[in-house]
Amino acid sequence: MDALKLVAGEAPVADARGLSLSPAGAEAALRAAGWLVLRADCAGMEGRDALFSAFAAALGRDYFASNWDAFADALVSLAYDEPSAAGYVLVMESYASLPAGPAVMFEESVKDAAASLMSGHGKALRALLF
Amino acid sequence: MTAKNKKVSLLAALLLLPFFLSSAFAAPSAVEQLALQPAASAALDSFAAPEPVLIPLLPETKAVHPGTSILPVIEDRGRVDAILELVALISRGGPFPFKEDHKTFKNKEGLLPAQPLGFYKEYTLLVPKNSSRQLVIGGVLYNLPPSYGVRGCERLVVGGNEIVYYSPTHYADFIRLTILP
Repeated sequence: MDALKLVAGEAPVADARGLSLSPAGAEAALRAAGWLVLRADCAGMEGRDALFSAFAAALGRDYFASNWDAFADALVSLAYDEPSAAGYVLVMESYASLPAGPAVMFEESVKDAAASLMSGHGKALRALLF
Repeated sequence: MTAKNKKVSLLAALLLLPFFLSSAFAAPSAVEQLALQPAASAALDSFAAPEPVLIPLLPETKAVHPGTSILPVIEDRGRVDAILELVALISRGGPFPFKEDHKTFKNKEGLLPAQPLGFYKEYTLLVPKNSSRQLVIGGVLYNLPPSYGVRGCERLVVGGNEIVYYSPTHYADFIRLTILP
């Protein structure tokens, strides 16, 4: 499965499990195509704060406000902070490890941010679940 | 009796007026209708509310108004000026510097009172570079996060086109502001 085909789909959140695609392979292919890739390993995550910390690290920051409003806002703000990227993709490893509550909010936040990024900036945001 | 109750009872009286009249003059024939017209209009005259009474029934227009000072006291002149400037811009309806401004704030965390989607709008508050990361508002100290990115971490959220909230901490805290003229 081609990672580029996967992110070209309409759905902001795409399940990449069961396809012959690895997180590292997806990251390499998407980076080569000019996408900004933020990778988070959900193994052992007990709650949302671990997820926010992982994204802070992926963005090279030492802080990330611990709330979903800030998370969605930070994703939309990538249009200003990383304007040269072809698109933005969150590569989620061991996604099944993320507890159900944060997983629901994560997906909702990605969908909201994806809609804002597309309507405001014509840029795609995708989350690939591994 | 509160003003609101007065409005409701006036509205009820006006709404009930047609029913009152129709039951008083139930199903008259065409001839009877003609004959009854003077009486009916006399009845209407006695029921008619004076016109100015209708004015309070119109919906009140909500608006954000520009001002010159803020309560609670924000102990940072640069931020106060930035907030007042943004409030003035909101009162003029823009144009706003970011596409994310004047867009719906979804209140995902529910820190603000629950309201229908679209009630809250948000605006990017840009503050002077090197603004202090410690801020005292109404005597309370807030430790602000690092200001990452072009839009920083400070926002104004306006509820129902009139209630102004300031979030200095990327939606972690909301302080309701009163903008004084």
